[in-house]
Amino acid sequence: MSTATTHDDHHGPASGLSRWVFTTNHKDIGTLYLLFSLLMFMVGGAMAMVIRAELFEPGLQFVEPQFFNSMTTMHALIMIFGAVMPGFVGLANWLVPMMIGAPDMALPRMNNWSFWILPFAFAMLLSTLFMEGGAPAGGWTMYPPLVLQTGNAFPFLIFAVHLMGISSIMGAINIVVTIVNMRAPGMTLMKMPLFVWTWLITAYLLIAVMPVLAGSVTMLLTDRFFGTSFFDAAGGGDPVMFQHIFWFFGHPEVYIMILPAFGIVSQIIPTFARKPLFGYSSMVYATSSIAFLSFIVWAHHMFTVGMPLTGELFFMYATMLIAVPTGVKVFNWVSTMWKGSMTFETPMLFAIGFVVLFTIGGFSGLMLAITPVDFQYHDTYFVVAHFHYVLVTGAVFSIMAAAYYWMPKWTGNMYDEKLGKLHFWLSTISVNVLFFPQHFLGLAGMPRRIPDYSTQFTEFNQISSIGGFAFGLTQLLFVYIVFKTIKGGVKATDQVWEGADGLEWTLTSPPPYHSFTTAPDVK
Amino acid sequence: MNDVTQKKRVRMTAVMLGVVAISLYFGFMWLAANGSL
Repeated sequence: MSTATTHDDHHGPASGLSRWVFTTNHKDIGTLYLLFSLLMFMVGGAMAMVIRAELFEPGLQFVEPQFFNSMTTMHALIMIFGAVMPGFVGLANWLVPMMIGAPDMALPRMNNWSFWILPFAFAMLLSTLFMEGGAPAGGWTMYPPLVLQTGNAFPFLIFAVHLMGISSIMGAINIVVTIVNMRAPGMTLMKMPLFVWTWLITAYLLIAVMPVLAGSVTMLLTDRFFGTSFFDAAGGGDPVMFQHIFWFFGHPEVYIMILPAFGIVSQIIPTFARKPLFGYSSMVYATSSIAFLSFIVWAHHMFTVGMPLTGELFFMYATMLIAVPTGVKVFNWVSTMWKGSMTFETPMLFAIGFVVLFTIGGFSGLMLAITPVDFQYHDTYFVVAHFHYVLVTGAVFSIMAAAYYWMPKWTGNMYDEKLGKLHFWLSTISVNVLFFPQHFLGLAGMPRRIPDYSTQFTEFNQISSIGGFAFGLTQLLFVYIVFKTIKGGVKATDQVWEGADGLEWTLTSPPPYHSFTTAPDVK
Repeated sequence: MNDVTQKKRVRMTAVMLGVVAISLYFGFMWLAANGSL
């Protein structure tokens, strides 16, 4: 008998380090992404602590202004590309194949590559902290001509961004290909769980805009080293063109970081309300509408740059239109809860926290969309407050909700409910103490990305910093809960949650290393 | 759908999306270089 015929395909994971380096298993790769995201969340969080410590009092206390600017720049790059995006990709890796009844991702070897590019990209980005001239400090938006003044870190920044882009594009292609081709028989598009739907749309957004970011930073690179003048007015170029190209990527990027969150919340709320999701198809159409609108609103990030009035008006109205499908979503989540038999386990608490607090971020976004008003708010702490409500109490809260919701499925162990609830309440209180006063600071005119400020801003900054330290410390509790759950705990049942519905809950907890080797029948 | 058809469709979809991504990358740079943006 040849070795080929005796080979057993249903083997478990390899042992030791090689399991993680060479793995092509979607669950292993999902775990790698999630752990990487957690690590980057801590690194980016440490940078946020430096920022809040420096801003505790007016004047310069702890760090040089140049280093402060590096902290704001690196914090953003790490949180966006290192924490939030890999967090969602990790969830997609774990959940999409299990939710559609597929044995794995469609392109498992590319999946391994997508992940393993990331540690190198971030090692390169973080290494710039130790370079002559310091880490990039011109803001994560990398506007020329300022970014071209970056020291030796510049090519490292550009190459790191290219690598992150390649990783994201490959991950997105994999997700689209998996969802389009690998669904179990009977799993029609309109039967897919909403998390799968939102990720399908997100993956298309990624494929459409990450190459644009890559193109824009390649042009920065050639401007700096190869004598081109794409963004150099002296050579016939236009620095404002960079802003247009960057935000053509940047605004859909915002939705890349929030659409999967919508999917997560749409999975969790029905489970704990013990009711099917209200308005499933309207959720799908709302998600698609948001994705479409995200391509035609980019210039609301640059109202003050000097645009024709018609341009300003177009981008203002187009931006406001986004409130319509977003409103549909919030309405559907609330309607799902209406008259439901609700219980408030930690995932549900984070999901409800998401709905309330993300909506605050949405409303401040509407305020910023009003062009004449934006002239006042632009580049102030009001903007910082707005996007942190969207990204922290929006994207990050949803990732935490997802972690609590699916962790018992992944590990086979229940997390500590008391600690989970403590984590939620401490996070929710501290995050509001951290970001709510920043609205007032912005309205009063405090600019962002500045290490010093006028004394009139002291009190709100101190409140904000205290909230920041409390929020930072609270996340150590999250790390403890995660590792405690991985290590052991009360055994989880297969369904885990009474109201849980979907293919992933038909598998054992933890699921077998290779699940759905025979496609399930979806009714 | 049998395994061979599925494999072909997976490859076709992946290559198509890859071509879209590469075209966007060079396309935007080309438009910028042309002064069309």
